[in-house]
Amino acid sequence: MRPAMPTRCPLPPNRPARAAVLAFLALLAWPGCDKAPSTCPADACPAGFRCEPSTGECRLIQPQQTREIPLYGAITAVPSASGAPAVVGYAADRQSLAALDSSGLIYVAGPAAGGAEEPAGQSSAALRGSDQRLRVAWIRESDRVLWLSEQTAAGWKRSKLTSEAVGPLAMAEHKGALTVAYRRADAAGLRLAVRGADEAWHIEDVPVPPPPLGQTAPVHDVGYSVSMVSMASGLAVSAYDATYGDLVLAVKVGSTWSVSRLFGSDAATGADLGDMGNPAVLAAGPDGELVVAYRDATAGTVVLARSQGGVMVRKTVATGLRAGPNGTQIRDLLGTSLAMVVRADGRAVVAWFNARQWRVGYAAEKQAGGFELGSLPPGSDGGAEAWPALSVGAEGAVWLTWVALQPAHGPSGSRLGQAKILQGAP
Amino acid sequence: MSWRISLGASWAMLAVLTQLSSFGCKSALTPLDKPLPAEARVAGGIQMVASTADSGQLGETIRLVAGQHVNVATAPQTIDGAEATLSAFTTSLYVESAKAEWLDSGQLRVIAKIAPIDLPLTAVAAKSSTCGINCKASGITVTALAQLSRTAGSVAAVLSQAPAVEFQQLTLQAPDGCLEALGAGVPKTAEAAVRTALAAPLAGRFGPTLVQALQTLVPPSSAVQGQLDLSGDPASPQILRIDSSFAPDGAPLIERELGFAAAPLDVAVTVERAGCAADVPPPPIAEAELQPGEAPQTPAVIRRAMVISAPMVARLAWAWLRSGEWCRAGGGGLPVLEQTAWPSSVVPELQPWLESAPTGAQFWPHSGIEVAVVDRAQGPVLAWTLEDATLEIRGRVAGTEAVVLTVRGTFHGELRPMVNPAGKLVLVQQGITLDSAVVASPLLGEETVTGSNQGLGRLIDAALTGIFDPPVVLPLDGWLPAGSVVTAVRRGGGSLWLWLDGGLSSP
Repeated sequence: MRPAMPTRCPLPPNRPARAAVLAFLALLAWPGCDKAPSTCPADACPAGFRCEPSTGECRLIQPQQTREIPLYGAITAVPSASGAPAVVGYAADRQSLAALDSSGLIYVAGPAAGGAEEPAGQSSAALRGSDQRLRVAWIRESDRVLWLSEQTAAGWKRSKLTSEAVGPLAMAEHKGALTVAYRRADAAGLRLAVRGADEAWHIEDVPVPPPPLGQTAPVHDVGYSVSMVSMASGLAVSAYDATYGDLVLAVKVGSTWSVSRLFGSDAATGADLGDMGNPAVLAAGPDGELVVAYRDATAGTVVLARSQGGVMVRKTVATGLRAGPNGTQIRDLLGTSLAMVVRADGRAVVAWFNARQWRVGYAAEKQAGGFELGSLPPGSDGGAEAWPALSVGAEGAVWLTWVALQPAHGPSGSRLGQAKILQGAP
Repeated sequence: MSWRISLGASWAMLAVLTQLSSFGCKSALTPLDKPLPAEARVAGGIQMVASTADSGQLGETIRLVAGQHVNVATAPQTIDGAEATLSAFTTSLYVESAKAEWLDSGQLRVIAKIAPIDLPLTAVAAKSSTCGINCKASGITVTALAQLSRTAGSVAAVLSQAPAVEFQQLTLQAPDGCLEALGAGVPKTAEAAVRTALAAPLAGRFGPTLVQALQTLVPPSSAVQGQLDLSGDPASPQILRIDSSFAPDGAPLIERELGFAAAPLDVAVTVERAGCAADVPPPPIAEAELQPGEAPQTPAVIRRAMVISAPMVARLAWAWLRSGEWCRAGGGGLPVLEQTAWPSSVVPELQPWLESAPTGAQFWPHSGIEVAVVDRAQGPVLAWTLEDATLEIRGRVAGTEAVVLTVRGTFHGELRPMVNPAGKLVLVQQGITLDSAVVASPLLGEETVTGSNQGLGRLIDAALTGIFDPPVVLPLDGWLPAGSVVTAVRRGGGSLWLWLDGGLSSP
């Protein structure tokens, strides 16, 4: 049951007028601003709200902000110690890869980065290394060269990894080694670029599992969605196998790979269970378990799965069903863009792009099980939202970042939106 | 599962629905859990029809299937009243002609004429003396009569009576009088034995062949009662129920009218509404009357028609829509559109956002469907109208698939039944148009388009034909005799005539 809201929705103090208006609209849009409970039990408030201990009221954690940062397309949010995450994405108007952090916006690659660079960065991935420096892998589309840009005290340092890459990309730091996963440009398969202790980059293939039982057509189309996570047990890489519509997983322990078809086919019978895993996101839980969020295109749902005792236990996060005209039921197109993080207590937060309504939705796993669904209140300009990214800040708060689109201004008029949707641990 | 495979699975479900329209789904049916309401029943909704004009060919077909030559082979027979034996003999009876006709009673009768025979026989007396006999038979006719009959609650094709074989003349002559010498009653006894020997194989061929022909013309198996779950998910079943039955007790199973012999089937169909289907009442039930349809001029072996009446067409269309089978996604026709140029003729403002040809489309009907059988130059079509429906076009925006355009309005289309080279009926969507429509994009807002918009029309036609591609092949085999083929489709008033041929095997 949705908890009660304050009868008067207070404006956040010391905000610019625009943010105040947005926040006011956001709170008005949220259903029900009723009398609050007197206590703050766990999960008392919906995602995006926090329970005020003194009053028991659910208050918006932080009103959404949109900034005139013209990123367009998928973005990566990288946690920052200072609060709001750094964001890496493609600035369409500048045809350049941009990174935004507390120090401001910087163009990492492409014409806006200076010199006479070619457009670059439509495919990128980013992470903050154990040394707290931002690292961004990106592709220069014209020659398919994969680059790494690293934030250093002296500025951004760039190194070339390989010249055969196409997106999407994924990054992880596994046992101290920076690793970038990419699709091979010359063949339908995945590869890793791994930086060794000698700072040299080593390339290796990621194996794919054989076709489902009973199928003979070779796997020939892998990698439209790639995710990678470093776990205590090994490095896990997932990819979408478009040949069979399955999410496949490869785990490297030491120097040995093991592969499996995670979702989409019955491992025992080879039966087709649906089109699953395009896209998918991997994360590691606090107990070292693998957590996967993926789109089930056949069922039209967003699913969260977690390994428990060697078995992937699945829960439907969102179905996208809503009322249509004349008593009909419409199923939204959910999750063609997807994000997921796992909090320190093991609860996952999943965000997705509703590709029918052009809205971003999210759900936070509750202590008692199930999910608390949330969505961004509609903006005042009737714009659209897309490409969600999630990050967990140093204090444990969950930040949602997205691209806000302004129809009147075209792709170059996009802006970046950010909101803290879950408070950190007290 | 790739989307193509997914689409295949979806079409499999559509096939179930099209089986519904042809009553070919009985193999997947389980018994009805409850009777269908009377108000769901279309009296005479489907009729199995044979034209009396085809009776001549029907007789010839029965002659050919029964065999132009009926072989006779007998064992030696003791001639009662005489210590003699009629020796074994073999011969072949030539069937000169056969005439079939429908009687007012609804029975099907065939009368076959057999060519005269001249048969040498031998009688052997006990003392081993032999008697040569010359047997002459002429004016031989075989008359068989078959009908549909109710037996233990079901309908079957049966012989109305044993086939009658008549001889205008049958004589046994022994030139030297040796036959009479065997005893006074021997000639008559021998003649009866020959008569029986000749009649039995004729009756044995024409009786079963006639029954076979009748049940090919009017398959008793077209009476179907049962249900099936369209969802494939026991947790949330979506049940299709069907009950088709021949005329109730007291009413003739086959009627003669308007130059046809017709077996009307009362048909009831219900289906639980899919979530995406509009909650609209079924079309009003009207008693269906046979409206003559033009028979093909082409030669046929055993021509008959399945006539789907106008009320039945409306009911089936309602059920098909209600099942959710029109809320479908696909994209087979969209690649014909130019890559990124297609929005320029529909919503130019959309062009900067898109990086490829549309990736797919989804159709959402919001209203009931109206269907009428109308003639076109290439044959009849099922012209349909959805007063309110939305077509969504998906595209790729910065690498992510999303709905980029929606078109809501009144859609018209034609479902054209075509006969493929294998004699199967194929339903092809064509001629999709729309009236005043609201064209909107989640990226842009909306505008109203009225009248002609060529770009929009092309987009809609490509999307919907793509969604309904590949065309559905009606699986008629399930209920029609094996080997049956569709030869032509015609309109008769508001009804659809599916002309059939083949499917008659030798008994």
